[in-house]
Amino acid sequence: MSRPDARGFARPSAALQQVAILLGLLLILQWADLPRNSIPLPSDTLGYLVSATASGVMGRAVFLTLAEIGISLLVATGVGLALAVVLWKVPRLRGTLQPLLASVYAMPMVFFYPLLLVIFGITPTPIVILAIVVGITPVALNTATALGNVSAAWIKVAHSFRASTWQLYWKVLLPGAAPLAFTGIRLSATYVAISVVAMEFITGSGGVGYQARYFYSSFRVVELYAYVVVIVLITWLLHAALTRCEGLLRHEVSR
Amino acid sequence: MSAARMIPVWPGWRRGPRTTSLLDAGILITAILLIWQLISNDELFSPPAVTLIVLVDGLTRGWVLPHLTATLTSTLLSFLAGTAIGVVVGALLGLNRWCQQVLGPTLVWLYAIPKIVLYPILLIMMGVNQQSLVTLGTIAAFFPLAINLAVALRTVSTTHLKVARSFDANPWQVARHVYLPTIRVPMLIGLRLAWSLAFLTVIMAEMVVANFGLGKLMFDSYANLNIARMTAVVALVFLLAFLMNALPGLWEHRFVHGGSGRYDGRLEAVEAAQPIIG
Repeated sequence: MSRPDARGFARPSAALQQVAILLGLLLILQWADLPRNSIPLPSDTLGYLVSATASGVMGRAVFLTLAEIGISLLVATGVGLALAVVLWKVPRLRGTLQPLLASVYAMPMVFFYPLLLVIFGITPTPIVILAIVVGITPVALNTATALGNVSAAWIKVAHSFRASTWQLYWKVLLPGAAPLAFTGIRLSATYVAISVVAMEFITGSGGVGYQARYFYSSFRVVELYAYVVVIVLITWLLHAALTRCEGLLRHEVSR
Repeated sequence: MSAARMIPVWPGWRRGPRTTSLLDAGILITAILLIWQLISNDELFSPPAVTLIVLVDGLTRGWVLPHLTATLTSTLLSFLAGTAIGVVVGALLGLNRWCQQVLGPTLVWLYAIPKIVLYPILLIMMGVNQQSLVTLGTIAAFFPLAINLAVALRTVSTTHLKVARSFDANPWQVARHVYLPTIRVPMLIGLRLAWSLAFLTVIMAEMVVANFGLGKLMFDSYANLNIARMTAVVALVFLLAFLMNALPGLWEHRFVHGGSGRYDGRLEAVEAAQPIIG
């Protein structure tokens, strides 16, 4: 985890330094004289994390949130890819819809949450629907751009080899568009995760966001901090995993 | 943080096909209003005409005004504080190598966390007041600015810096003629995102707990099943968000293209868009 610098001294890597800073902060939180009714001891929070994980309470909340994120992302990716192909094929539609999509993108969809709550009640349904709407746009816009960027020469070659439509999409367009399209999916995942947790937090029927809200309402700060830590961990894992996948994909395609 | 990590503009308004004719836009708006009219009913959400009447009533009789003022004040304060902190953090990350390597990735990752979950912690520390709201808004607003500034500062040309040094430029001249042209556009985009995120975050927080604000009004109307009022507030908030996005967008467009022409397209990064999400 260390590498020598120009002068030959071993320097800890950035990741190691980040861990050290985090540990330092935790130690300060643990030992400093802080108002414990608003900043609980990290050891208490850790203790609750362990016991809630053991009892399965945490697992259920995490599972529901991950399921909401997963379903939304899956549907958003499917619709987004299909929409991208349509946008790419029909220039007139692209001219009209792309600026609209871009402005939908810039609009906070969460504001529709109360409307959907009236229609569907306090269930995971309105959360998933809005998360899908949020998730579609980055996939569609990035993939449409990616398809437009696929070299015309590749498509010509495919045509001169009499490639079927299926072969054209599967063998030429998909690999050509994959890196940029995956960036869209990665962005989509981040936004879907943020939206899901935020909506659970505003009002929900379960999930980590809801739990955080619930424990805030009952002023149980140890539990509240534990769920905030879990939310941070979930977003971090998602972010790290997808960034890694994206790197691998780029590497694979560029070879 | 590579250039691809920069938080750029949305696509479509600069290089993408900007061919939406007035006719197309008109058809689109008519279609949206028509669908709204067709699927609306009094139990779920009000039709456009009713919404407009309630909204006008709220603005003229004034029941919406204290909430509107509260939301806009909190947004403005969050934006100002977020800008100040964002500039300092961005400059540190952009100019100091250690900060960039160790703290930069952390910042990008923290940006991916739903900031609203920090609200209960702030509420417990500060209580239900404007201070906790503005603190949360500040946290949300500072990220895009800090990240964009940090990345932009890393892209300042070393050749330009060398030239400036060989002309014996003083620090002010270096800042004015080398740094400013490079960071101008990313900064503008960061500022706009900061404003939008402050607005969104403040309203989301108001939906959770607040004394005043459009978010509170919206959610109270939902809780009391005052559907017409809820629809009107949602429409108002959406209209505000749209204006806040569209107006600086137009200005920025002119600024980028009509300016000195120094803009070199660096922001056409892979991550071609940035939505406004809490």
